[in-house]
Amino acid sequence: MSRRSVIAVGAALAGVTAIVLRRRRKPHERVTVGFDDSSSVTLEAGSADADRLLAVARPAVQR
Amino acid sequence: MEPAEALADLLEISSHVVAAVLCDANGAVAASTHADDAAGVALARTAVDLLAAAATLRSSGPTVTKVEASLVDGSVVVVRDGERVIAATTVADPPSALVLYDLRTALARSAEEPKPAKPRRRSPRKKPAEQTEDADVAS
Repeated sequence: MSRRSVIAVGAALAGVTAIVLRRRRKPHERVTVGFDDSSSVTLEAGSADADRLLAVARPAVQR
Repeated sequence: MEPAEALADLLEISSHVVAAVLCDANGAVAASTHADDAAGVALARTAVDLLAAAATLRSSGPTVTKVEASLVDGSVVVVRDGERVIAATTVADPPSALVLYDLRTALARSAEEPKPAKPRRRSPRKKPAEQTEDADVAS
């Protein structure tokens, strides 16, 4: 197998791997809270506050 | 505009909104897109609970006006304007700015006073049909 073929196969494998990993990636869960002073805060899942709010919201989405 | 009408318009213009409810700050439902009342009440309760939970983030600070909980299967978006609240469930990963705009619009429209019906213009009385020359000729 020529050197050029090895590079082509390697590039193809890397591309397929990237596509598979991107499709497997779950959209991350988060909460954004806005206030009347125009400030807002975004909490990523995993923090105690975010998980508390996500737990309140989850049944409504699954209904 | 009636609350139910505002929600119907919301579902019509936003393909991302699955269900929505208009309620007050205590969770009393004014209108819902759900077929059964219990589901509407449950979404209103979720909205009030989310606002209350979010308020603890800044306990002595500003009032919570918006909560957007993004989950894998969809989102719950709550918008509050004074005592009026609108909450919606959406499809997964919606364009949040667009959904928020649609919800704010629906909330504002639901608060609009219904326009008084315009008085109907009286149509001018029809003049008695004039006799045609043909009729005169026939007689």
